[in-house]
Amino acid sequence: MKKIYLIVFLTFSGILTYSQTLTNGGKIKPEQAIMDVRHYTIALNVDFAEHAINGYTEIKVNMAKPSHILLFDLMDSLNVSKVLVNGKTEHFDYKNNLITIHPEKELPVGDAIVRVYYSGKPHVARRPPWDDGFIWSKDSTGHQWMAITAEGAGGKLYFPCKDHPSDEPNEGVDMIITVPKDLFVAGPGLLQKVTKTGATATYHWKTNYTINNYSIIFNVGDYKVFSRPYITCDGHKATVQFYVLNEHADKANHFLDVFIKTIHEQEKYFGEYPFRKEKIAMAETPHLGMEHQTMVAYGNKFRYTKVGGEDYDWLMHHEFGHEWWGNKVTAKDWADYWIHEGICSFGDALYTREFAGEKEYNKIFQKSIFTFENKLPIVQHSDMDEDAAYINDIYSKGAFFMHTLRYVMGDSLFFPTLKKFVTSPQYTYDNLVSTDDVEQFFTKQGGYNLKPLFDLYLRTTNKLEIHIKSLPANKYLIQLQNIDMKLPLDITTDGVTKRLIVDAKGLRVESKSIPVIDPEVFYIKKIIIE
Amino acid sequence: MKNALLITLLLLITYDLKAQTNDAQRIDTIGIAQITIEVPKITHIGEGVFVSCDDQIDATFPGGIDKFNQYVVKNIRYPDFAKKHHIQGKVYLNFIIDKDGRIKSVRISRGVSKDINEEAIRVLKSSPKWNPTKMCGKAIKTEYAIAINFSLDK
Repeated sequence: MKKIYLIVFLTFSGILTYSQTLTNGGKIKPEQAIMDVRHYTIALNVDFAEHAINGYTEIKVNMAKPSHILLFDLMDSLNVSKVLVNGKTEHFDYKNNLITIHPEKELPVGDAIVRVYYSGKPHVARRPPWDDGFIWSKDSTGHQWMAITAEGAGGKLYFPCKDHPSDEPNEGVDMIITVPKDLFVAGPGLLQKVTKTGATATYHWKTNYTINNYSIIFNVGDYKVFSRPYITCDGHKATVQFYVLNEHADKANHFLDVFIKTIHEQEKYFGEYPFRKEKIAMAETPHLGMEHQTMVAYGNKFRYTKVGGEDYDWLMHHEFGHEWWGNKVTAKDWADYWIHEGICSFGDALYTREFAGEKEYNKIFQKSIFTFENKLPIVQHSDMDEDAAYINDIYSKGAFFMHTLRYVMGDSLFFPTLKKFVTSPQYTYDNLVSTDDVEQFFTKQGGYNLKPLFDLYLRTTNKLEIHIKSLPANKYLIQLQNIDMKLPLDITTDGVTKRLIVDAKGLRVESKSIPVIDPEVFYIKKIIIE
Repeated sequence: MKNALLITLLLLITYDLKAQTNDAQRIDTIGIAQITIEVPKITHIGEGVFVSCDDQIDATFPGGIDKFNQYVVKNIRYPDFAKKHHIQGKVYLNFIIDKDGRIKSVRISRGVSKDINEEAIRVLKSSPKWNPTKMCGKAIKTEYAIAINFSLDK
């Protein structure tokens, strides 16, 4: 068990340091701020010989103010041939990864339909999923195998969009993808129709859920679908599916066993699977993995480890956990990225708690603490772009923060609060969140101010400073130095550990030797012995 | 949705099986809850062929789904050990109704305790025959999921 998590965290810290050259988010452009994206239809032909795409994207927007300009992000590697606004051809410029449309008449307040025809070779990923783009690959039987990752670069990699985390298409997405007829397209939502014409097949996928830009992708391969019925924790029926390469079909049943165990476990802590009306699904991809909503990318090559004596796939667990943290609950600014990665990684540790016990769970954090970089705070400042916000600590230190919060609040308060947050309409689906929302919710549910704790660990690189002052007659004064709140603290004196409440004023304890503070490591801390 | 689903249509039933703990008082089952939700339409593609068939008839239990509820609740015994130690919770199971309507391959997807799991499996396995799912007039095997709630009233 020890080894598993050591590997997990080393893998994270080893690979995640590759910097991304493409990014999205940041300060929103004023022309885009007045435009709410309602829906995307992406209709493309995929040319495997040329590694090219051609077709159109139709965007339904709602304008809050009248405008002479419409602005969409699309990478320059493509060519735009025509733009229609409400069915009428309009003039446009296309440079610096932006399409600027100049409608002849001012666009009024309300809905508008924009259709952009384009073609070309989309950017190719060099090292997915840490560097984004199209991945053109082949499986061992010679079939084409294509995938896309876009978390960093954003949807503009291949479709014109408002490439900002603060706006999701509230009415969902239609994807109409045409490929050679021997291939299968796996996309978000439900498959509506497959039309076979001559040498091609057109797959129409549709999701009615709001979806983040980087989840609007499709996978193509020699897929076979394995399905199982599933009952959610709230008693609703759903379907679990695995889109596996035909050559790995023999691995699908065991994969589904492991996956279903994972789904039940995540539901226990985070409530019902968020997109049950469509599907619970994973697709085998040539890259490691990504949290694509209702079609989570999986590329861990069926490498299981043991937790509680049974097969477990940490990558499957992590990417799937994003269905709650990232897809259901979404940060509106990349600055609050830890809500996706930190809480999701904390959820990974909860699997160990569930099946291997509290002690093994604690060990994960006792080890992860050595992996922190702690050079930048997790939450740096507002209006951040993806590349700048994406640091290792959003995973490991973010998860550790949740571990600390659990200890501070206690299980009987913490777990119901966490579940309440992720199941509350106010913080889910269309309602995007910030770190302040999380803090205020936990403060309200907890009944006392948790802001100092959130600020210390999320907004600074400081550690909790605990001061131990030696007093006469085997007495010690223990004080918290840099936080203005009372916190529980495990203190071991003469071999006996007690959970005591400590604050800035301090607490006196008696001990023959220097007391041991927080032996189980619930805090990132610095101890000063005077 | 014209395209019928080949392998999997789901049946979702949650049975609430409640028993009283007080010895010598009511230890019978009380209350059955059935939850019905619209079926998500899933198109299935098998063997590279797109199957299009409008006349799929889902598997049925003789006398209807309520009869199956009654069968489960009547035949499940709350295991003594679990009752004594106040062990309760939902057992999630998957099973297959084969072409002949027999329940096969009963598996726990999330269990409660060994004795509760075994009791749930036992009752499902000894279920009377179903009428199998038919697609284009031909019987096919289908997989089902079920949740059985074992709870003890205070």
